[in-house]
Amino acid sequence: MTTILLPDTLTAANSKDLLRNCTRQLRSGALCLDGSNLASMDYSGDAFFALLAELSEKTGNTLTLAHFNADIKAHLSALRKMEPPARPAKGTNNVLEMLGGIGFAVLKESFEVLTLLFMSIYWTIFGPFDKGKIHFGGVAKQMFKLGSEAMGICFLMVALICLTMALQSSIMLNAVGGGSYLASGLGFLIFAEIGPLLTTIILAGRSGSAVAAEIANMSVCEEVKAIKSMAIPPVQYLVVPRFIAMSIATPILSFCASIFGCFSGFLIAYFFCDISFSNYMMGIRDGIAPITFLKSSIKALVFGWIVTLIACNKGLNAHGGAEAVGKATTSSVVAAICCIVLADTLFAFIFY
Amino acid sequence: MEEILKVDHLKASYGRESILKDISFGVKRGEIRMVLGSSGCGKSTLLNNILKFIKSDAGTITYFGKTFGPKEGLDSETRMRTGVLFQSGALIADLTIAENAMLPLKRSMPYMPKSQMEAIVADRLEKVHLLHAFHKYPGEISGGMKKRAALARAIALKPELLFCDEPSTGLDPVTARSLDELLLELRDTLKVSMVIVSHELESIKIICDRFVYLKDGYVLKDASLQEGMESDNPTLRHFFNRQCPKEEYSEGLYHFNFID
Repeated sequence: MTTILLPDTLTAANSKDLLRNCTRQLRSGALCLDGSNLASMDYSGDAFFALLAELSEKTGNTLTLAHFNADIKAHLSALRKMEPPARPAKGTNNVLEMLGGIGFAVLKESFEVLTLLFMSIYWTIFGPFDKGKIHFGGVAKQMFKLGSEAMGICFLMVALICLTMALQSSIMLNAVGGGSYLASGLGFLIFAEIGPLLTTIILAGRSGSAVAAEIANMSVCEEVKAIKSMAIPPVQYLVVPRFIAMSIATPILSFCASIFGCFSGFLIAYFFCDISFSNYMMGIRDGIAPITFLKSSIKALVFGWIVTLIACNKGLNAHGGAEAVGKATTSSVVAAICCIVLADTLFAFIFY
Repeated sequence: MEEILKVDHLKASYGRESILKDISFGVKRGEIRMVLGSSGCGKSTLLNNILKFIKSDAGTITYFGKTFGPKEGLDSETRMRTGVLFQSGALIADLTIAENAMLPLKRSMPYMPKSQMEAIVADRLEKVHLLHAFHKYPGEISGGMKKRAALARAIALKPELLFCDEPSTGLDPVTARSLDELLLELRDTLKVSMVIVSHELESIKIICDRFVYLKDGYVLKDASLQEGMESDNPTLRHFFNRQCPKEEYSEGLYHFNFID
């Protein structure tokens, strides 16, 4: 039997080499560990003796612990062999079932958003006649927070993208001698498509995420429950002011952003296509039928609803901790942008 | 005495995990009923089910003689007759303390002039010794003050039944004691019955009339505080004497061959 004298302390720093030595000895035969010097050990001591005990059991070679002090003896006698519990089954690995699950979740969420839409319309119409009136101060505050504060970034983005678009179009149109058509084409494209689409995508990222984060935080902090406990419908208190605010703000923002887009397009028309301001304005007037403004406003309104309702729904369904707030915010932006683009495609088929 | 709240064979689960398996108890008028149990035993889940924030699997809840099924929500009238003090206070962050306390009044009596509402709110804030924070925002006051402000909001409509989720948790002993005394004062002055979820032993000994102790989804004991403290049941003995049961293991131990 080989005897190895243990040091006065057993720590993570010195147990590695010692364990390698002891393991080698125990594999080849019986091993005696002399603990007469051993006064203390840290957490690594438990693992050291447990590994050797398991190896002794496996190989059948005897492990003897000699001259250990009473405290360490008592500690090692109570050392338990712990095994982690089995990992709980984590859903399914079947692709069809997973796709079905995703489809079901999308349907469920679509249903929730539609319910929220009908409830918002209901409370917008009948709220003023109900006991707990809509908070009109709240609507104004939301219009400022969600609309006015997003004005700068919306106008800037739409103007810059329209500038780029006008520049690239002018190069092609000049090449075929059609530079004079820039204004009419650009005007139609901006008012019918770029204005509402880009404005609401920016709103989804700026205002939608703010709404989702705010309501999700309220859900996580039990504020939504508190509102319910006071017999105030959360939809009436939290969703309706935002719904009304965005319904008013989005078409206005979209229209104003389109005007900014047209002006940035004029810069290109003036410098690259030699079109005067009056000719440019006439071109725009020729390109846009009055109904285009109505169609554009309807699109902006629906896109604004999409942004608000998805953000509110994600916020109201958040539960857990801070992580849930981040998750609700991210998913609301992604879902809103996808739905806006999808709705835009549908509008293209319906309107044009 | 008349029971103003009756929980009858309530069952609830999260997904496939059953949390409340069969819970029944009642609350009499003027009584402070505490819901006790170890962490994770389902006390807050029970409160959420009673308040109908989440749907139950089975069982009924009867408020003031009106019975609600497992999938039914509470009506506005019942909600206005009850108040809730949440664990975190749950004050609306962008409203002042006074505006928070005014919310239930605005909902129930929108015709009331603002000056009158402010007078009522001032009275409630005075009751919780927080009149000086009338115009402050929740972010500007301490944790204990938030709880008292939330209590002022919960009693704004002079509810007949008040639910409190761990009212003194996270507070220093002096503030916790003052909150306990405040609850007793409210019970005596406003004649409010209370259902309080807590595991603060000091608070329990001061304010509890009767308790239900939850274990493994069932009611282990439904009794008065005195009965609970004198109980022979090991779980209750450990709970009320603040003892930690020492577990002795005989299986799964490593066997070492010691020699001297």
